[in-house]
Amino acid sequence: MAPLLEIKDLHVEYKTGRATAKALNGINLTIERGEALGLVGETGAGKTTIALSALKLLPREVGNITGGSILFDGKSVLDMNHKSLEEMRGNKISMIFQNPLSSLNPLFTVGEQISMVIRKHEKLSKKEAAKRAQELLELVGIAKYRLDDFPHQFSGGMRQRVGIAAALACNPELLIADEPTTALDVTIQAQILELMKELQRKRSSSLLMITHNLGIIAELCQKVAVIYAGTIIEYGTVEEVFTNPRHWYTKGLLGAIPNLSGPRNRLAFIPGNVANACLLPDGCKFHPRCNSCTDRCRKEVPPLQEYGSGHLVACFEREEAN
Amino acid sequence: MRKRIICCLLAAVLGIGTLSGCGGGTKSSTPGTNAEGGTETSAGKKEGGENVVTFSMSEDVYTWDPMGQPVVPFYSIQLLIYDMLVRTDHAGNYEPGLATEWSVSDDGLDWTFKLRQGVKFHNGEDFNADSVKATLERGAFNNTLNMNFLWSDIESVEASDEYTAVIHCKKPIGDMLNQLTYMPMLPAKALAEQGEDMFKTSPGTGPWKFVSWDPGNEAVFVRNDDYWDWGDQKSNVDKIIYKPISEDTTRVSSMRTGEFDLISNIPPDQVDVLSGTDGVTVDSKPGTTISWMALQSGQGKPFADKNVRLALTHAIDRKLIVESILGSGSPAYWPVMEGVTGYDKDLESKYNQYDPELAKKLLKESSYKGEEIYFMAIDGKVPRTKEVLQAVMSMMTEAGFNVKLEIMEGATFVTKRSAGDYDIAFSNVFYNNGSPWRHMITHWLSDSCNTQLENPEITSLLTEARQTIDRSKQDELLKQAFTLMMEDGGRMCYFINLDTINAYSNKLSGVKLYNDTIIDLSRVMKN
Amino acid sequence: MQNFMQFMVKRLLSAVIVLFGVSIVAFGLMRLAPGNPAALMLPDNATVEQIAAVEAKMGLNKPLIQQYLIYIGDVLHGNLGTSIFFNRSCGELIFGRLPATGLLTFAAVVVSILVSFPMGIISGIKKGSAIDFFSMVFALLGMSMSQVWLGLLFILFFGVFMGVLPTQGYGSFRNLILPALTLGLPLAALVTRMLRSGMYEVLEEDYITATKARGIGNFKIYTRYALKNALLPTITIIGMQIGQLLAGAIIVEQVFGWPGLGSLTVKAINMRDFPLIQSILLVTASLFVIINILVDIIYVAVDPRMSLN
Repeated sequence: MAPLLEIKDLHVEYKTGRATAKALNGINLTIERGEALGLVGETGAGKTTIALSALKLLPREVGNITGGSILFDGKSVLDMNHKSLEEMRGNKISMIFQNPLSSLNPLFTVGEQISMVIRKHEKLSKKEAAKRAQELLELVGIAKYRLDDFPHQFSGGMRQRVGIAAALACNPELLIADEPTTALDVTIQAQILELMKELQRKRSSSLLMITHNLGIIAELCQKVAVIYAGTIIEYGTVEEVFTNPRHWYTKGLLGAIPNLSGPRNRLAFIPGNVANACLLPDGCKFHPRCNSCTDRCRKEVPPLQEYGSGHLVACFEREEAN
Repeated sequence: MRKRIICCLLAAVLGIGTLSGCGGGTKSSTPGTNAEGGTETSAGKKEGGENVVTFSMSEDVYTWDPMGQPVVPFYSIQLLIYDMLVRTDHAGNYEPGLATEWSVSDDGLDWTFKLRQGVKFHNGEDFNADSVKATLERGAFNNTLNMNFLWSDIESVEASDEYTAVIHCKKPIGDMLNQLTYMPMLPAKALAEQGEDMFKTSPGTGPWKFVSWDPGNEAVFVRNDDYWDWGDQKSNVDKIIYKPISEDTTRVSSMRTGEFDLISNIPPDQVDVLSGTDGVTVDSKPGTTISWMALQSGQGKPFADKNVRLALTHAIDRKLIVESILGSGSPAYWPVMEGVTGYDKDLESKYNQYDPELAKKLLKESSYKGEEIYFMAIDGKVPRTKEVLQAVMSMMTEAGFNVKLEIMEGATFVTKRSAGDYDIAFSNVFYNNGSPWRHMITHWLSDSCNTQLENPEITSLLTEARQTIDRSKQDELLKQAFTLMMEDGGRMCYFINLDTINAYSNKLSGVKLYNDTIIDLSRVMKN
Repeated sequence: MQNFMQFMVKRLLSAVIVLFGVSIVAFGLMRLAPGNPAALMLPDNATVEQIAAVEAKMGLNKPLIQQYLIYIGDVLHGNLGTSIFFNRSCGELIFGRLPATGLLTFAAVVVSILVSFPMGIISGIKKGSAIDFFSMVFALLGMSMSQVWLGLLFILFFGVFMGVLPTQGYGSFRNLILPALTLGLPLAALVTRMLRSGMYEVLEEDYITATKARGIGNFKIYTRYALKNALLPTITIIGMQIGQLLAGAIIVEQVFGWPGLGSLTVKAINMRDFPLIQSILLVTASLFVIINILVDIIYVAVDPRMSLN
C-alpha cells in the first residue's frame, strides 16, 4: 500500500526583508495509513513548517517552498489548485493548532466554528450541522449545551478540545497535531492526551504528532522522526529509537530526560545553541555541537540511511560503524 | 441575547431617524409651494407650467422686520412684498408711491401726505392713514429697533382723515423723503394684534406675496394678482424664489448652469467667466459702497496728531490697489461718490492723493515715534481683503509706519471698535438711495467707532444739514462739512469705492439694478 | 435583559450629567467671549440706554445664575428658548435643520462605506499590489484635500462643465449627490486605511490560518470570518465621525448652500445668539451621547468578549 503522506526532499525558506531562514533542508518523511508518527525536535527546528507545508498553508509572502514534493494519497499537494486544496483541508487532512487561545476566532461561537467545517465539506443544513457539532463536542468531553458559547468562555484545555472536535468533524484520514498540549497545564495535558489516545483507538486514521515532549510520543505513536535544523536526522519505531538512539542529538534529547526513580544524576545537556536557520553551517547541521565531529562532518551533509529494521540515521559515525 | 440587542439597536436607529425626519416641517408659515423632492427650480425649466424666477445673494435674511437689522439683500427683498410712501430712482429723484402727493410746512416740522385709496394689504386690511401712523410711530417710539435712530425725531403721526397722514417732527428731518423710500408701510391692525409675530407672514401691499421661508434654504414669493399698480405691465412670472448662497464661486457656478436667473455681489475676478457664459449678462457699475479706516485719535495715540492722519492718507496708493489687486472700483478721494448728496467732482480731486514723499515728511514732522499701529479688520469688506490690506500695510511701512495687522471675526471686531480698542479699524458702508445720512448719523453725529476725535465745526455743519429739507442747501452744507473732514484727515480715512457687480439671465427683463446694490425685481418679466 | 436595562439606566444617567455639564459650559463660555448680542442687533451708534433696553427685552440683564436657571427650567419643560436674532423658537430652527443634516450625514456615511469597504478590504488582502497602491494614494488625497477645494471642483466639473448635477440647493436626490461625495470621500479615506490595516492584521492571525486549514475558501474568509474581526475598531471610528457630521458639516454646507445645522451654528456664534448657541450645543451633545451609546451596543453585539458593563 502506498503511504498516505510522502514528503520527499522538501526545502522551505522564509524570506523576511533582510534575512533568509532556511527552515527545511531536504525533509524526507512518510506516514502510512493508520499509523501514528511522532515528530520531535526543539523549537525552531521546522516542525510546524512541515505541518503547514503539508496543507500548503505557509504564510503568503514570507514562506516559500523551494524544492521537493509532497504527495498525499498519491497526489501532489504542491500542484493542487485552490479547489482541490480546499477540498482536502479539514476534510482529508486536519490540523490541531498549538495555541488554543489564538486559533479560535473570538467573534464566532464554537458551534459555528465546528459547523463551518462540516457545512463546507458536506451538504448539511444549518440545523443538521449544529446537531453534528453537538455530537462532536460530546465526543471530546464538552457539554452539548455549550454549542453557542464563545471561545473566551472556555478554559484553555476546553478550547483545545474544541479545536480537536473541529479537526475531527469530517473524519480526516490524516490528523496533524501541532504541539496540542504545549500551551496547557500539566494536568490538563494529561487529560488531552487521554482524549487523543481514546480517539486514536476508536478511529483508523493516521496521526502526525508534533511535539518536543518525548513522553507524549511514547504514549501515542508507533514511529518517531527526529528533526534538527530542518533535516530529519533519525527515524524509526519508537522502541528502537528510544532504546537505541544512534544520533548524538537524539542521545542528548533522551539523556536530558530526568529520572523520576533511581539515582539522581546531573542532567545531561547538549552543549551549544540551537542552529540559527538564517546562518546554517555547512555540512552536518549538528556538527558545531557534536563531540564526535570530524572534518567530513564539517563539509558533507550526511544522508539519512538505514541501519537495519527500519531504523534510519543521518550521521557519518554510524555509517562508518556499519 | 445578541439578537435581542441588535433588534433594540435597529429600533433605536429607526426611532432617531423618524424623529429627525419628523422634527422638520415646522416652517415659518404654511409651506405653499416649497421645492418638493424631485422638482428643481432650474431657470430653464418651468415647474409644472409655472414661470419661476430664482435669484441669489450672499446672505440669508434672519429678521423680516424692516426696522430690524436688515441684511443687504433685504433692501431688495422688501421691494417685492411692500410698498413705500415714496419711490425713488436712487439718484435723488422722488415719485409718488403709496402717497400721491406731499408737502412740508415752512418750519420743516410737519409733513402732510395724501394717501392712495383702494389699496389693500395681503391680509385683506385696507391701507390708510392708520397704517402710516402705526408704522412710523413704531419706528419712532420703540427704541429697541435697529432703525429707531432714523425716526426718533418724529413726535407723532396724525391721521387727520382716512387718507391723509401728517407727520409731526421735533426737529426738521432733512432726509425724510429718502428715509421713506426704504420704510415699508405695515398694516396697523395686524401689527397691533400680533406684534413682531406679524413678520412671520409679512403682509405688505406689494406686487408679490410672501409665501414661506425655510431659513438657510429659500424664501418664496408669489405674484399678487390684485396689486394696485400693475398697470399694463403685469409680470408674467408666477413665483420668485430667493436662495442665499454664501460661497461666491458656487453662486457664480449656479448662474452659469442656469439654476439662478440673477445673482449679486460678484467678485471682480469672476466677471470674465460669467461674461463668457451664453445667455448671461454681467452688469458692472460704480457703486455707492465705500470702505474706510477709522482712526483712533484719543489722547496720546498716534492718530491724535493731524500730521499722522494726513501722512496715512497720502501714503496709500489707492489707484494702484484698485488697478492691480481689485480690478474694479475706484479710489475714494471724498466721503461720498457721484450720485450721493454732497458729492463734488472738483473738490474731490484735491484730497487723498498718493504722495509718498509728503507722507514721509508729515510723519517725520509729527509726534509719531514708531509705536506699533494696531490695524484690525474683518474679512470680506472688500474683495481679496487680505491682499488689499497687505498692500496697504506695505505702503504704510514705506512711509515709516510700524504696522501690525489682525483680521478677526465679526463680533469681536465690533466690540473692540465700540470700545476704541484699536489704532485703525477697517470697515465699509453703503449709501442707499443716494443718501449719505445713515453713515453720517452713526459715525459723524455719533462717534460709533469711539475715535475720540471731536470737530465742533463739522458737527454743527452736519447737524444743520440733517435738518435741511432743501436738497441743494443740504448739498452745500455737506460739501462744507466734507471739506473740513478731508482737511482734518479724521475720523475716517476714506479708502476705496466698490463697484456694484450683478449678473442676470437674458430671459429676464424689467429688472432695475441700482448702483447702491439694491435690485428691484418687482416688475420682472421672464421669457 | 436585566443586564441591558442596567446598562441603559447607567448610560442615561451619565448622559444627563454630561448634558448638564455641556449646558453650563455652553452658557458660560459664550458669555466670556467679547461681543454683546444686544449691541450687535443695534446700529453702531446705539446709546447705552438702547442697548440696555434690548438686553432687558432679551432677558440678558438678569443675574447670570438666574438666566441659567430660567434656561434650564425651560429646557426641562421641552422649551429650548427663543433665538435672539431669528425671533423664532430655537427648537423650531434646530429641528428644522436636522433633517437636512441627518440626510447629508447618512448619505456621506453610505458613500464612504461603498467606497472604502471594497478598497480597504482588497488592499488589506493584497498588500503591496496595484490596488493597494491606488487605495493608499486615494487615502492620502482624501485626507489632505480641503473640502472647499473638493466641493468646488465637483461643482465646476459635474455642475458647470458636464451639466449633469445641480451646483447647489436642497430638495431632491440629485442635490444630495455632490455634497455627500464631498463629505463622504474624506471619511472613506480614513475608513479605507483602518480597514486595510485591520484586514491585514487579522489575516495574519492564527485563527485565520486555522480556518483556512479547515478548508474554508478565501472569499468566505474575507467577507465573513476575517471581516467581522477587522471591522471592530472601524465601528468606533465611524461612530465618532457620524457624531461630528451631525454637529454640522459647516464647510460643505457653505459651499453647496445646504441648509444644515453647521451653518446655523456659525451664524448663531457670529451673532452671539446665546439661547440658540446653548440649545444647538445641547442638541448636538445629545446626538453625540446617543451615538456613543449606540456604538457601545453595536460593539457588544458584535464582540462577544465585551459585556455591557
